[in-house]
Amino acid sequence: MSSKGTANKDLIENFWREEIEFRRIRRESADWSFIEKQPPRIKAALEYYIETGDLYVASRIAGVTVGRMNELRKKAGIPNVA
Amino acid sequence: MSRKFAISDTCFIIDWSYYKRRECLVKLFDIVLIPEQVLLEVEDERSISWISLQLARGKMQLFTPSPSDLREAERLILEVASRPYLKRIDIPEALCLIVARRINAIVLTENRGALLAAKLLKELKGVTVWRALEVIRESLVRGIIKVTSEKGVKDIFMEYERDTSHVFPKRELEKAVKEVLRCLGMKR
Repeated sequence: MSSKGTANKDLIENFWREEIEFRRIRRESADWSFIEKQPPRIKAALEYYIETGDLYVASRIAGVTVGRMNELRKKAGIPNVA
Repeated sequence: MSRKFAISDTCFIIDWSYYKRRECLVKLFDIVLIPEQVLLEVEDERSISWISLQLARGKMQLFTPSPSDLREAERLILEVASRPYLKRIDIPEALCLIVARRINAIVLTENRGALLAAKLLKELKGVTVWRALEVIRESLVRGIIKVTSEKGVKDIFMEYERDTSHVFPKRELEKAVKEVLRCLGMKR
């Protein structure tokens, strides 16, 4: 494999390792009692956000704007890890 | 002399507008483009009033993507989705990447899929993606945010974390602090 290929492989492996680590941070920081009390769409959206860190899709699941979803993220104690 | 453009997606600008040093963004760039779709997603008073003020001052510019931008963004979404080693992107960040490539702007996003795609896809070669981490780093390096000590540098990043419920990855934060100290000629 070329040095560029190796660098890319390292970059990809590191990226996906970080994804696991960042998911753990979101999960451990979340206020689960707040999340459990939410209506089904909001609850699903917050759980999706914890898994992926993707605010846009989470907002579509919840049926709210990205701005409103970000407020829900903060109320649920979930950090934006990036 | 060419003007320095940035284009922001929603997740970046919403958090950024809660930062007490948010003005450094509009000092760092001549114009920050705000796509129309992004503006529609902002609803809280603090964010929308700040963005509106910047639009009025000419530091931000409303950007309406053309049908060909949207088609190209859709194509990029599918291109990324077809490669399992990339993280999926969606229309806001795809649009920013496409427009940034065309007009030589910096993409402002916290989306990690966009960050990875810009590093690995040949078609995005030359496109620079900045998160809040890089915007703060550059503001410190260029003296837009002034500090006098290593602790001062760290405090600036921590301030953003507090203001916006954000966590910077530890390793990347250390790298950014080191880079700032090196550029400012401060010893650790």
